[in-house]
Amino acid sequence: MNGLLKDYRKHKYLYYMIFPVVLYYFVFHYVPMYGALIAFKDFRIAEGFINSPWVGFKHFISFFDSYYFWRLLKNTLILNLYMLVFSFPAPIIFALLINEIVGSRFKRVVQTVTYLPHFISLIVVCGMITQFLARDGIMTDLLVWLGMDRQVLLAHPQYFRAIYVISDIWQGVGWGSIIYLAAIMGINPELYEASRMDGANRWRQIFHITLPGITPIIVILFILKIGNMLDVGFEKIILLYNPNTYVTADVISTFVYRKGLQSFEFSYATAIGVFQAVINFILLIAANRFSKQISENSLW
Amino acid sequence: MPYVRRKGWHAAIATILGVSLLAAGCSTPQNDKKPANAPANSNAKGSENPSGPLKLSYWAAMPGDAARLMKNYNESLFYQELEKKTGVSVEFQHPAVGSEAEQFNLLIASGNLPDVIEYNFTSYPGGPEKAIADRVILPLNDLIESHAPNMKKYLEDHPAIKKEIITDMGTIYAFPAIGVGNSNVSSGMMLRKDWLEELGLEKPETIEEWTTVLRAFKEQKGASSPLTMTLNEMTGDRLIGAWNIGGSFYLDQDSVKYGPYEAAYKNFLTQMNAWYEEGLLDQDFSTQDGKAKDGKVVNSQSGAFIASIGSGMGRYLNAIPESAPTFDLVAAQHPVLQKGAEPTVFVAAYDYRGDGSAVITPANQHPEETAQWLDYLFSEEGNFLKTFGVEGLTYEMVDGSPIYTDLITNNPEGLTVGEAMSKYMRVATPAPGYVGDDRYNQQYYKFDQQKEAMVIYNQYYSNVESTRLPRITQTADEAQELSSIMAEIETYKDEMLLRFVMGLEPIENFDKYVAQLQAMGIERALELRQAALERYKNR
Repeated sequence: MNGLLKDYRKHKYLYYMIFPVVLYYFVFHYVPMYGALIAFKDFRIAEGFINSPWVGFKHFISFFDSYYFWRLLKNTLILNLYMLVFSFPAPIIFALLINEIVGSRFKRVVQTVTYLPHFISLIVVCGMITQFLARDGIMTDLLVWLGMDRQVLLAHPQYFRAIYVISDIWQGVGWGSIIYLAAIMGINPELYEASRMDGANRWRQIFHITLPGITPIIVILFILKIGNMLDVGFEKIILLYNPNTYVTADVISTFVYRKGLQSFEFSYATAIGVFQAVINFILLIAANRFSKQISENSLW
Repeated sequence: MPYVRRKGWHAAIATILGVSLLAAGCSTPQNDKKPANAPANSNAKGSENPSGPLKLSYWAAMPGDAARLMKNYNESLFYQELEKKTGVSVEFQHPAVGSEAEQFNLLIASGNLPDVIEYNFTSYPGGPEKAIADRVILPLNDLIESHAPNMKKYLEDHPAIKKEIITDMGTIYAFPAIGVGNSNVSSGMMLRKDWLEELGLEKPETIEEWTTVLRAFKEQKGASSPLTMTLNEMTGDRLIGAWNIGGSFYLDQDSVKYGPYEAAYKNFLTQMNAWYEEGLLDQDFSTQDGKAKDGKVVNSQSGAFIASIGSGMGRYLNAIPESAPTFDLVAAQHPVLQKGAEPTVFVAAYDYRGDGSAVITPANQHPEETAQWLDYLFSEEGNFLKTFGVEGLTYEMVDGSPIYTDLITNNPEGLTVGEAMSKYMRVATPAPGYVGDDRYNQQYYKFDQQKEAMVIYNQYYSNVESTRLPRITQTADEAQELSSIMAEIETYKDEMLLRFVMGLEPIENFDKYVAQLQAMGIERALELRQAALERYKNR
């Protein structure tokens, strides 16, 4: 407390500036947390929060007992794992590649062109995917030319994850690389000079200087990604899946969405949300601790 | 002293920044949370001074046609004339087209109820009784008794309708949209008439005849997907009706049954699988959307499909594709198994439409006057205004029948019939009062093929009345249990349907599939449904 007071006196204006932000988070993110309690109630709109009856763990048990529980959990985790393995490194590699480009005009063109997909709305992207992968779609034509049988890829469960991840990479690689490029810019150029004098070629420079230089950023973003392992946004999946692909595409959030559509199951949906949040939180703490032990980088 | 002045400067900047951030932080989230089309004033006090003209706030969804032309219903001739005739002025609140259900949820959750809400309360979770318990709507029995003579008389004359619109406890809760006329069925099977004529084929009636016709389309006309459809049409009460079962819950004499649980379902799956393997059924039916299906019809890749008379057949016939100058469509009767059998299960609207029913909320300060106002729509005069508009402007009486003028049928501004009707009347979609007047339908359908289709599709409508589940309602607890069970069953049923039809699962495994449905609780679901049916019968 004393340390805080001293710091405050020294940097009064910084505290003034951050105060509204802290207030915002407190009022709009922490205070509403009490609403998560409806996961333990049978929330009825007319009775409101206070008068809705308590039901304990009924919704959680109903979810865990569900015939599809393991499949939903598996699909959610596997999809996130694929994203972690493929979609996460993609912007890093891309940033490293951009950094190597010599011509500044070409560099800027590449960057602009690759940023653009990020700004396309998800609905439009999914519409494009559906059209391109239709029986007579342009992507299907390309793949047939490369030797595939003519078929509708979105109707086959084994291709769903690939389509999901690849389209995610296409949309996000440009935008995601910005933060890594910024970090790369922050590396001391003297390190490069020193390494060149020691005889390092470009590959060596990347591995021994650039990568270690941006490792703190990578670790932070990685830990944050782990903290989302049980979340898969349902919008994209809903737009791309159909009963053919439920077996790989149906995740926790899409099942809850379908179930929630049949009645206003606020409590049930909140219970699932609480379950996901708790697991995510545990994963986040574990990842952070693990990272702190094996390297010096961690979120806190 | 420069040092002091600099310090003051920093303080000023920091404070201004902090305050502006605070202001920005406070206003933005509110904008996010408010729905994009928040009503200007959703005051719970709706109506004004009782001794002056009545002013009501009215929440209703606007159909696409109307939304394209007007910002709110007050711009339509019908409501302007209505205000002149009744002295009641209305302030409309319209949700964005496409997000009506969400906006309704938000409306209820907000607690700021308008005077009147138009919505399908049969889909309110827990049913209309729950809506009354939730203090969203007022029971209307007394109000109708004292202030709604037209509706009261109609219900006395039509006890079957009354049974549909009341709750299990006998409460009337809405001023409903009631179908009159012979047009409850507005969609069904259609084929390329020019192909049938060219190949010398009769319209198919039995499934066997359908197979012959589809084969001819494929082999002789080169159609790559002779029969096309979307997934909804496969799972709905369409082809499956030939086997006398429904795609979901249906009625068999006095018991509730679930189509995908019945033995006949195996035969349906086997036939669909046969058509799929032979290439008679569109290979993409499970993934394509309406647009892709349209494309196949227009490009002559398909010769048979399911569509609605108005927006389907009407649209295709309005724009004959250049690649097929002889393009013509004919409606076929809902398919059966044996020659001469009557179709018993197919998609039809309920007489009590559900959509477009108006309720009075507890926030309404003048329920009696409101009931009286809504009752006007059930009178001859009100109904005429709503369905046909103003004599001389939108219709003329010809030999005792109202005929729409060119303003509607050949609109000078280039509006389609549907759009013109939305602008001047309120007839093309369900609204409180009577809907589906035959005199209107005959004129809404421009083409002879459509008029013919209307007759064909509705020929056996009385059969559907005994196979379709009436408007039964589940109690709140039943509804929760039912939705839990059905969420899984429907996922499983949908997946297995595709696996069987597309040949990924051998039909011999049908018994395992049935056993799985049992394990998931289909019997319990049927019990719950049956209980609701029993309560309905005792209304």
